Amino acid sequence: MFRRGQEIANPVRFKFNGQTITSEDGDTIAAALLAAGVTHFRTAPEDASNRGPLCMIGNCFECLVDIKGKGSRQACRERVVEGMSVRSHPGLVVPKAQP
Amino acid sequence: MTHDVLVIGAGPGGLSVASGLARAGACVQVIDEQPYAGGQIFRASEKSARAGNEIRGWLGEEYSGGLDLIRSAKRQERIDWQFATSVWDIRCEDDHIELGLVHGETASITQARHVVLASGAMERPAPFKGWTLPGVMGIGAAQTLFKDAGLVPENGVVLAGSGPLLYLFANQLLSAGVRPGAILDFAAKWVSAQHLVPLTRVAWHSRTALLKGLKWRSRIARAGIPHLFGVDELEAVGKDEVQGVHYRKGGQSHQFETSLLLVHDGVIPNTHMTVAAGCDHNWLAQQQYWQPGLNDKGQTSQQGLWVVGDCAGIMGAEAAEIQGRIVARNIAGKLGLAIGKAEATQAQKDLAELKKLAALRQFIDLQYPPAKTFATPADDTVICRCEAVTAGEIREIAQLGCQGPNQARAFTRAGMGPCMGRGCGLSVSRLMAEVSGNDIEQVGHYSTRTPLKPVTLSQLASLNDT
Ligand SMILES: Cc1cc2nc3c(=O)[nH]c(=O)nc-3n(C[C@H](O)[C@@H](O)[C@H](O)COP(=O)(O)OP(=O)(O)OC[C@H]3O[C@@H](n4cnc5c(N)ncnc54)[C@H](O)[C@@H]3O)c2cc1C
Ligand code: FES
Repeated sequence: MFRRGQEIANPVRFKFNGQTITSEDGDTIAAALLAAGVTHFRTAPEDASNRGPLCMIGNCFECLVDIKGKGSRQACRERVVEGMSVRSHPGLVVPKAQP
Repeated sequence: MTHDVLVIGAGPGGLSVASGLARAGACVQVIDEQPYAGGQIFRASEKSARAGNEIRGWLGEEYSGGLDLIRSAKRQERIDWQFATSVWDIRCEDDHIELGLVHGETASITQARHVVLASGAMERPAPFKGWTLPGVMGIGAAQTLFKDAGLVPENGVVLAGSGPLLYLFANQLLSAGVRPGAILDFAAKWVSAQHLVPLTRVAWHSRTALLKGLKWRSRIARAGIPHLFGVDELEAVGKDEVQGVHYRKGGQSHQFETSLLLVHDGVIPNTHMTVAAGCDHNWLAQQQYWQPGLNDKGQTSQQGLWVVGDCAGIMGAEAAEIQGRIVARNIAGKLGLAIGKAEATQAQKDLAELKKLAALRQFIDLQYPPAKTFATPADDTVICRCEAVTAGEIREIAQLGCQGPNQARAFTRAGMGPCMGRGCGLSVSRLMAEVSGNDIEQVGHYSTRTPLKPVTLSQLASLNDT
């Protein structure tokens, strides 16, 4: 989907679903994941569909991930930190109530 | 109260209002949730300038020009900068306004007599079949990745929708050596006869802007990128992520393979905060969005609450800067601060310039109206992405006599998810108006409750320590 326009100059390593990802210092988690080819950030609780970032400015909440020690956060607003551990947001499937 | 004025947003509007007030002698605090100044248009401009990298060159003069504005604001000693800080609450009291802030793991409350909202715009949510698939994003979103992280789409990316941002972004991509697979343009190729009059009205004084648009388009053509005009329907297809796009043009269906579909249907004001603050809003029918009602000074219906820039109504970055200067003078007047002679002369020029920009905007708005297909999504299209509510469900409860968006929210859960209705608010109001046949002003919009941005219980608990 995306590639880096420039090579990484100041590498920062973190884990996503147990896999090590190398990103540029100062990247948002969303940018780091997209550059690494990740498209599935969260699972929608209603229909278990895959979701990924839509707006990149903190409005849509499609980029939710779980950051160890912080809980559920927007990947487009949080920046990468060396050694952090991130998981995709599970989205427990809840059946829809009938009106 | 430690500050005379609090400014929310450090884009062109916020930077300009803060500079103007600081120069007049006021103590100002600027709050922005981003770690850098610049707003959406000049996003991460300081960061890329520091790195001295090629990315600035690819983004062009449009982007690099913002650095002067940022640097001149940063030289003002009376401005206190609060970056990486979100506003999650706004309350208008009798003689002051209170804001709830969160920075890192700490929440705090601050207040001032005057608050300026310069929180900008968001891309208009454009619901169509398949738009929830990973790999469908806003053009502005992809541009944000470009500015902030130097990420560029791979060759074959498809740009769809309408507006000048399509052409600007395609040019930025060509500079970066990226070849879009196609541009699916909802606009007509040429200005239609009925828009010629507004065009001639702005042609001379807006010639630079108009020529720039033509230059962008001709570069796309010269590069041999397929640029299709008059496209009127989209569908993203794929299993777990986008694999292609189906579109209609001239009554026929076509398709295109791609792993990234970027869509844009213009931008709309961020009215979440003005709605939460209880301000009056007007519906702008031509552009299909709500905007806060302002008096001729730039103040909302709430005493001491002012709005500048695109969150007051979409006028673009240049106008945001001018509005910032105007509102800075008006607030300085209220604070009893003297305004110099030079400033008074500038005031005249600013009003004249704003009038020209308004005429240009009127032409742009006519040429790039919001797409019909996104306003009238098919019944099986998801409109509330958080709660997976479809257009059909909203139509159904509207037919059953549901009394407006807030009741629809309670019935269907549309707008109850984490984005709090930012993504579906407009669609729900439009669908309910479509079914009931009522004007959208009668139908109304979602009400908004605190917190405006997510805050955790431990962040809230930290309020006791401050
Ligand atoms: C994604 C996107 C990309 C765009 N790119 C361009 C472009 O390249 N060229 C162009 O001409 N126009 C662009 N625009 C249009 C844009 O609206 C500009 O006209 C211009 O940036 C508007 O300036 P502004 O000062 O009104 O607001 P903005 O520049 O949008 O600045 C608003 C600021 O407020 C902050 N903010 C918002 N809510 C909160 C909150 N609750 N708490 C704390 N801070 C908050 C934001 O972080 C942001 O920095 C873009 C719009 C979007 C949405
Ligand atoms: S991508 Fe929209 S909130 Fe992060």
